[in-house]
Amino acid sequence: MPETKLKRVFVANRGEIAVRVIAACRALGLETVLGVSEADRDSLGARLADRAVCIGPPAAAHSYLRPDILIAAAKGTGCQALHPGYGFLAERADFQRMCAAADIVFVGPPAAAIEAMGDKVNAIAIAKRVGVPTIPGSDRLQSEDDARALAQAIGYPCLLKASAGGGGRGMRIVRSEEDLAMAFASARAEAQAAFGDSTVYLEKFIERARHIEIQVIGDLHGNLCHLFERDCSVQRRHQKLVEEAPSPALSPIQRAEMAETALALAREVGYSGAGTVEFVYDMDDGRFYFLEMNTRIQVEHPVTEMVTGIDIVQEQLRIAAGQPLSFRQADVTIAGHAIECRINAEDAPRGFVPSPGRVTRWRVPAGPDVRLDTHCYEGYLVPPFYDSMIAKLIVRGEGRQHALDQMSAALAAFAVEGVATTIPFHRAVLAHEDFRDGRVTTRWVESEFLHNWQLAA
Amino acid sequence: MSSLMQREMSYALTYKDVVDILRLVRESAHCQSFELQLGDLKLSITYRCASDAANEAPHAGLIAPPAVAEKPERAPEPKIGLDVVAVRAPMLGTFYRAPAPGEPPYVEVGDIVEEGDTVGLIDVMKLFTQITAPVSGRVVEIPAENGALVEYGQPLVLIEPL
Repeated sequence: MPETKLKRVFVANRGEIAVRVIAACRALGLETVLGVSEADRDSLGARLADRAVCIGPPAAAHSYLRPDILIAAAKGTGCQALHPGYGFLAERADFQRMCAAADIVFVGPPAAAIEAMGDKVNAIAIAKRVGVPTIPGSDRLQSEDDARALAQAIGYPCLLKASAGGGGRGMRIVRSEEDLAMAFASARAEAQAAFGDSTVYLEKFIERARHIEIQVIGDLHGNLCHLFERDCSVQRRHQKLVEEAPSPALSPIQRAEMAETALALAREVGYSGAGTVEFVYDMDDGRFYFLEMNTRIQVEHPVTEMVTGIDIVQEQLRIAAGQPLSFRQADVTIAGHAIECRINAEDAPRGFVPSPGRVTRWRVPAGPDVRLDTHCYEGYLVPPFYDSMIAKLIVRGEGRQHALDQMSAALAAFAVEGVATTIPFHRAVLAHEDFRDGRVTTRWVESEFLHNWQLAA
Repeated sequence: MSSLMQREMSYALTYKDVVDILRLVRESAHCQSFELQLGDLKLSITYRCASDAANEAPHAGLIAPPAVAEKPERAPEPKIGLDVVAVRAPMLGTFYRAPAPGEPPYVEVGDIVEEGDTVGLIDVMKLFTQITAPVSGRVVEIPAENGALVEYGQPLVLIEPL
């Protein structure tokens, strides 16, 4: 990287994304310091970073979620920038501001953009202002009566959603007026527990939907580009399990429209850094609606990297160092098709119950178009304190069919013992006709696939 | 199974036994090393007296890097004896040995402290936490350097309980 004041980066995250960020820093000749909780002292990230500092006990609340500790660690180790990864404090505008006040470059968008998009109701209002289509819905609900009246207007089925956060928490489907009272109370309770804010709003519920999102990335010189879309329709409890790029559902015109819409929104909030604009795509009429914008690097970024050849994390670091994007929009093309499977340490046939423990066997697939983003190794103790994702398996094929075959082969070659994994689940999904034909909806796993698969198992 | 069973002396070595043995070794004018084998437990002690130590380079945490280092290095972990209590950092932050710059440090090596006495401060973004002695005793070592970044769990002050 050409001369810049950025020499050392503090990595304020863990697991596979910590490994990913360290690798990107290394490629750019940047030194790395990783903050680790006691449970992660012996992690792969700790071994790869130039230095690892212990930031607290295992519980995230006392370590990875402590902005003051992270900043003290970054300053104390001479870092000029901090990469927050995803989750944890990545979308906390106050954390971004604290970094700025401490003269540390936050690898991410400006605090104002994080704030604008962080409140989901506010983000929808901004989308409307720019002419981005939004799902027919309500503003923040003041009361159950308010909810009842608005649900009447929007029509059933509808969806109650938390205003302060996503990830499927604080969400309830309401199919009829009689279900409303209970759904309202329970959505509010869950939202309060998950985000400290019980505010919910209503949205029309689209029965047959696909989740399609556009990757955007912008530098501090006014260049804002999109890197096309990802389709993340294979979900369970609103958690993505399989993602692919490009989407098998979009026509070229729809793709271009969605991309332009995403850019318009990003431009409106003065976006810089990497971000993702998520849409709900109605399979019944081909229309799409703005869902939310995530102002951070996403878990599934590798599928975009595999088909565009652009290293998004490296671009993030370059942007943070004040450099322009290393490409122009006209240079961005999609070559081939990529699929990612999120491998979790969970026992899928038993309700996806987490399965922490020591990995006694870790035989991984490999090949020119196979990529494994992971922090695991043979002998690693998967800790019980954090989310259960242990690896992301990504493949690229010449076209979708080839990618499907590549993924099936890669999954078949992936042998893990000591912890249960969702590899068998993924193998079954990849073999399923619905998925292979590209016609799954966001409710497919729960309403069609799981029941039959668990019966057969 | 043989009808002639060998009876072995069984003896459980307790923590207190080990501490007593260490004291005996240290207080002895002549004892330099001691070895004890009990079943599959082996205890091995080598005692170096003060005059030996003076001829060696200091070994523990006394050469700590400055807060903003050229290269991201860390101070080596000090050796902590069995009869010593390590006061460990309850959080990551900057360690200070004195209440304010220019003032005398809370404790020096050799000082006697009471349980609850302040032995240092940790600063996390200008929020200061007092670090207190968990036991009464004598300060035998201060491995953490004034003004240095200390990690969660890092030994700051070593106290020999009295």
